[in-house]
Amino acid sequence: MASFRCLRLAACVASVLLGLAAAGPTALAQQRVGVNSAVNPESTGAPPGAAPRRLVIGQDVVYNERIATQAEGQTQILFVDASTMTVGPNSNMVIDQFVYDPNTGTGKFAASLTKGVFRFVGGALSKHDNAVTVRTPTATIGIRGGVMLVNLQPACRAVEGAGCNELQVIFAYGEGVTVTGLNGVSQTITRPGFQVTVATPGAAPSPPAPAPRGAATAILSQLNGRPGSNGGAQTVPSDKTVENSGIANVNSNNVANAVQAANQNQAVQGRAPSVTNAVQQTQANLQLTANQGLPASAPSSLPTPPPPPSSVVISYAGMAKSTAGNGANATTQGFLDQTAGVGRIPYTGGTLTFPSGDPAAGVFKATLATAQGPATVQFPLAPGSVAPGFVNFGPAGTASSFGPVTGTSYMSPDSTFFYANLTPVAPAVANERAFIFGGQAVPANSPLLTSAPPGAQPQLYTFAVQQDAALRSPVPFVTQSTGGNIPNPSTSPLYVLAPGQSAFGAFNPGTNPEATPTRTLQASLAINGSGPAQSSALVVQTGSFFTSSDTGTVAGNGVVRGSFVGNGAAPVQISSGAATVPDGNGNNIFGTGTGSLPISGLVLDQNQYNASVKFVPNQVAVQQPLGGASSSYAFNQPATATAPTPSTALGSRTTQTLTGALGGIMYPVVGGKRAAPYAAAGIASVSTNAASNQATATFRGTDAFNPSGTTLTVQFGGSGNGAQPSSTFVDDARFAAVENPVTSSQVNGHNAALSSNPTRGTRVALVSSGTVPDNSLLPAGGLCSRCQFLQWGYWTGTLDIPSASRQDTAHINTWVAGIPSVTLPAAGKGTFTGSALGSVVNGGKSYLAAGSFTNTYDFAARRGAFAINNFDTRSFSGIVRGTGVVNAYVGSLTGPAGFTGRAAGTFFGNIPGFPASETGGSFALKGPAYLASGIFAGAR
Amino acid sequence: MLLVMLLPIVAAAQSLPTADKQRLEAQQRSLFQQMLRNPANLDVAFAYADVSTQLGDYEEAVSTLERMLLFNPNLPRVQLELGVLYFRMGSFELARDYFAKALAAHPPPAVRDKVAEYLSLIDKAQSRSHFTGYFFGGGQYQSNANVAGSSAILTPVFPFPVLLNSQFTKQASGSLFASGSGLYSYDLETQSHDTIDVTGVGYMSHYFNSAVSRLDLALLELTGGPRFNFPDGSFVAGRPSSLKPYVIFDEVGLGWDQYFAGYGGGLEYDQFVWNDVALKSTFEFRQKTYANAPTRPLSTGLNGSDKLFTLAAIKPVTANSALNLEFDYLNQSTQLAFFSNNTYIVSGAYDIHYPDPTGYTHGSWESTFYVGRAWSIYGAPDPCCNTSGNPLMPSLSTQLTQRWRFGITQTWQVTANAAVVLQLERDIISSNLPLYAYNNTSVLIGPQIRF
Repeated sequence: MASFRCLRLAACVASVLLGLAAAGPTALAQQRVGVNSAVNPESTGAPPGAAPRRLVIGQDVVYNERIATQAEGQTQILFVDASTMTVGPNSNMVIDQFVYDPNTGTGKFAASLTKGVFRFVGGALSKHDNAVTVRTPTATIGIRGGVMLVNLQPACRAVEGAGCNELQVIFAYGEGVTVTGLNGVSQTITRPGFQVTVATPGAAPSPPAPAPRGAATAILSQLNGRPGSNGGAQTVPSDKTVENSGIANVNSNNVANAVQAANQNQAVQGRAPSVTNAVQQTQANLQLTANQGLPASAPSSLPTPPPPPSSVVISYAGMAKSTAGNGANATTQGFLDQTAGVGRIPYTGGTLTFPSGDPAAGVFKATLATAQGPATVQFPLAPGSVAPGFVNFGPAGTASSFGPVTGTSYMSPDSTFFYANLTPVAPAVANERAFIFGGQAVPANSPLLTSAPPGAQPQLYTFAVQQDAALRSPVPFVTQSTGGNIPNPSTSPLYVLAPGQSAFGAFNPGTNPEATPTRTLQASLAINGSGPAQSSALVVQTGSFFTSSDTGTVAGNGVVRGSFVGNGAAPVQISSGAATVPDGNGNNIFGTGTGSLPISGLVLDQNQYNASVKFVPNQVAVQQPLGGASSSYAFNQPATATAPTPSTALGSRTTQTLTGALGGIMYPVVGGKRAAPYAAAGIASVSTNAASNQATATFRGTDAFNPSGTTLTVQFGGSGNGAQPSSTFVDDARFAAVENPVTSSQVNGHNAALSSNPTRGTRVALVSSGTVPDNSLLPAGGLCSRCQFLQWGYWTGTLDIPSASRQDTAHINTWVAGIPSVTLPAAGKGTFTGSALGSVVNGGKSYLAAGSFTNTYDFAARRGAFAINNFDTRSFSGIVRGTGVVNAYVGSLTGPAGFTGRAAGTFFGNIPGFPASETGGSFALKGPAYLASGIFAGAR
Repeated sequence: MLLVMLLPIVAAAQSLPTADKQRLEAQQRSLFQQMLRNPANLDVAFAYADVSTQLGDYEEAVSTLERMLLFNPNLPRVQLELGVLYFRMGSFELARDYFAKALAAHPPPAVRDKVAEYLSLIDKAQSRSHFTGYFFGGGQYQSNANVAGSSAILTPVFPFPVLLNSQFTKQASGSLFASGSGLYSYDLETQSHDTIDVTGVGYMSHYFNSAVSRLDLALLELTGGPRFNFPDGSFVAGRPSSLKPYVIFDEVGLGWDQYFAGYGGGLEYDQFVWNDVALKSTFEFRQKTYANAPTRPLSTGLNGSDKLFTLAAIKPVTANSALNLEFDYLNQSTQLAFFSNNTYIVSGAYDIHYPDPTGYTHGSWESTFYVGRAWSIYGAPDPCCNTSGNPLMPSLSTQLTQRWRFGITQTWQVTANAAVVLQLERDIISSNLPLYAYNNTSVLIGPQIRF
């Protein structure tokens, strides 16, 4: 049986106080749980121990009161926790338990229904688990929040099996209603509109299922008043009352809010799927798919048919050059005419078109803006068939302003650079020559141009310098007649050394002066024949890449220094600038800018950039015969990337200073007239810097046979900025330097002139033998194949002494320098063997000669038997003796009748236990109409 | 169940400010005491119903108004309000009963119209079949419509590197697109609203630039399966969740040729965690069969299967904004090993909606800011590109690609079901193989219609 007990004192007090407030002192004896908030007769209530009373509106309902209605009776009980129980006709209910703490909203509510129709609307208590329980003869109902309808009809027992259920519970709202049968089986309803039925006492509750349509209506019809009744209210509401109440404003009129509230009370999981997700997932493969039609991208092993042919079109910008009517002088002057639209025609929009998969069928076509109007140039352009990259073509399929042409084209492996040398077919213009190149500029955002090399290691890129289309000289930067046609030249690649500290070409004297310049070096040595009929040439180019102040693109600049002697004649000095040729968009270097071949090609011609790295156009290269009139020409040298340089290609790179000797013949011109040449010999100091990739040298020499005669100091390299690339140091064996742009050389104490014009002033160059290793006069391996502690090389150039109206010129002179020995063996002899190489002027004929060298040196006596044999068919020997400098020796030489000579040398090397392992120095020879001066080196 | 799709977006949550709520609760307590003392006082009763409705205590309003019917059963306006209150509580059958009674009482036209409106909503809500979806179409501009690589140079192994022609280099293009999706849901009439869900997604695009039109895309994806709901948290964690296994069918065309057809299955699991964080995880398996076309001869190399796992979380930040976080893992196993990849994606979005700040329209505005980062690690060296730089000694590399995606979507609600959407998006894809590195900026605008 139900019981009542106070859960807490506060609950009891609250209940009591509520009762006091509502019912007055007489109610104290019975605990009020609520009031009859509406009553339609006949409805009665029977408090415990009291006779049934007729219920009236406002009357208290007390604990344990039995509520009963007759056929017309209805009542609504409003409990103090705001729950309501509406009791329909013919119903019977007892409030078994009611405990409520209004401060916490907790407590317990239990009622027993024996028959009838009920609607329970939960109040504060039902918000808590197991707080509200309704007992029936067939099942117990627990409700958590919300609204439920109960239809309890014991009369169904009489019609068992006919589909009549004694208990029907319809869940209308809330968290759930649990119906537990007498057999202990429970069913919980959680979805509004669902019901559970219990057929008879002891039967299991049915699983929750949608209540039959009309079931709720049938119950509600018994709970919502009857026509003609007023629920006990003295004032009956009308529709107007409702309208005036304003309830519609917060409820029915706010449809959107009502819909939202309905949604919040629904378990909404489904949503239309996102189109974006599905599309993005499909598109994840589109990038792979989008590129599937790429030419040649599919390995042949793929089990897919080849794509149908489609045209591949590659766009290029570039520059065309033409001899422009000066074809008769093409091989001597090159593309000398630089008139825009005539000899020099930049273009954009050139195209290479070939069927997909058939690049050999490529055709290049561009429209050139010539002074005479647009002109089409067209020729086959394909990957190499003659040699890697090279193809001969024409005249079929060609067109130019000269008409059909034949020619040779080059295409880089990555198709980012090409050039073509064009020769007109028409007899009237057969002498004319044309050149065109095109490329894809190295992207400004490429790794090459935006960041220092990985590991901050300097990178060496090498390029083959290709023949000028007009000059057709195998030796770069010169004409055939000034050394270009000397057979078997030793021609180095164009070395491009990118610094480890900076991005390629980042240097700009204004915006990025701290960047380390990228440096370039190319040199050629050609010697053919021996004796007075010999022809020889030495050409040295040093330069740098930087960011142009004109265009902001990376460009290159440098200088060319050289000397040529043909058939023993007087030297011809060669000097020029050497700048990259821009395409129609102002770009100068071409390639992908990434990988081990980031630059595929570029073109150099005789123009120059000034110290502010602004382009100086319309420059010429100059050939200056000794004491004669100079002449101009132009060169145009494509440079094409060669196979990637392995990391080991860079040899040892040492920051050091080497000391040694120089030798050579100087040809003075005084007051415009040639004076007698003299043999120069002296001390050479050569320094290399592996951080700045620079080399500097100071040569101090005198007339070897006239100590009171000419003295000279030649300054190489030095501190020129990135736009005045006075030297390039690749590694210990490969370096070069030109005139020091800051510190003047001197002759007899007079300063040599410096000029910003690369064809004027003092123009000298020094190059290591490792840069141009082949010298036909010397045995294989050069001057001293076993030497490790010395370097040697060549130097050339003209010292311009305006104050003395004098120019002293060197053709191909020599130097040797090494790491001097600190100590010498205290005893014993060492026999040093090697070679001697020197410059000769013999009866007015200039040439180089070489011979063998030996020096058997008694370290204890500091005395050596020195010999140079077979030098220019003559042999010389003498005794050399140690000087005041511990590691040096000097002595006189004798040779054929009338010939004398001198030699001075230094010991090099400091191998522990084997010092002075090498020696080198200079020698000078003199005879009738004969002078020679050079260097020797040998190892023991 | 799917009333949400009937909603205008403006019907966002209307939570009361704390001060208002406390004031109303005080009024409610006072009115209740007055009602206990005099339950026949109509003014008090209606005021109590009013305040309780505002507070969302629909039961209190219901019991009060139902008392009015005991006082006078012929009150169509009360029956209307009771119907709406039951409607709010999701008890549509009882709502329908009150609306029917209201109509039977020959109410004023205003009441009749309102009842009809709600009955229409109930008809839709109580139907076992529901269909919702949306259409979104319009114009789009992409700076790199063909997702071309950053390098114009392709360096394959054979025969020699080439520059790519315009078809394969970055091409900007405008396009028209139409997309839509739908969800058909059939109520299994279980307590937990379990349903059979069939979804469809369609997308079509056409580029104006003829160099890109080979990438015109048409996509149709259908899924179907039961969704089991656990609204009482009986599955795990004591919080609402749902589980949906489903089958997948795909048919996709590219460049007006078939691109691939696919089938597979998926499992979706939704779970609320903490108080307001919704987690959604899915696993999908798709077996795809591609078809080659003249412009893409290697598509069959993509034949294989996709395994996709997605974990997404939605966390309301304020009453009108939410943070969305998502992690995706996609494993693509393809016939050509160099197309196989594992892709990891993390992304986030912040969504906020607010009234039209200009005041010119009654529609709301919605802004979504999103950013995502993806890493794709491929399974084998890609023969596309010689990465040695030396044509004579080629070497291949396995593709490693990363993607940044960020953008903003702005939605202007025009009517309850229609909006104009503008999206700005930027993709930055970097790759060790330049062929696959690209950037793309996309702008799209168009109407979006929900139904």
